[in-house]
Amino acid sequence: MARRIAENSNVFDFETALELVLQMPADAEKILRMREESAKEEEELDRAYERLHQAALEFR
Amino acid sequence: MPRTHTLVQLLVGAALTLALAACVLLPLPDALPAVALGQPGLYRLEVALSLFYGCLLIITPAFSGLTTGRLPIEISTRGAKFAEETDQSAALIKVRTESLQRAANDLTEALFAAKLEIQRLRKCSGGDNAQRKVDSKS
Repeated sequence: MARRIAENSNVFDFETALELVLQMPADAEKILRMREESAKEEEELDRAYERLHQAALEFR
Repeated sequence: MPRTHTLVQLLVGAALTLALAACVLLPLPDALPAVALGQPGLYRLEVALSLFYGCLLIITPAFSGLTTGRLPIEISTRGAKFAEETDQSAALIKVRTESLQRAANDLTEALFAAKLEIQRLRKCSGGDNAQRKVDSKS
């Protein structure tokens, strides 16, 4: 879990991430859930943009 | 591009001249329409405005259709909007949204890091949660 938190994070390195997991496991889970939600939203945004891009291409 | 710019200026100038000429030279009808509220001056102004915007409505798609082979997807009082501009705006919004989301995530993580730091400091101070009085020396 600590490794997953430290991955692609601008705030946590592995040591602080490990400390967070040990001291505040609920918050550590919250961070991971937040990242998963963000990734899903980003995918949705990508799909929406792609649809718009295709529509613009077809219009042209 | 400067040539196109000049051509647009000329066309808009021509539309304006036509509208102003119509405003001055158009004979007044015997019975003014209701929108003129019985005032010849207002009638002339309305004629000029409708002619000018009518010309713009015709000129804009005709010009872009003839010069670039593209038609605008929308014409409003702010001008004509083209498909690729919409596409670019969408790309820009996508980039901004992603960067905002990253910033929000970083801030949330920083908040958790601060909470962790506070907890660490509390532990360092020996878990002493008793509040000291204001102006207390100890």
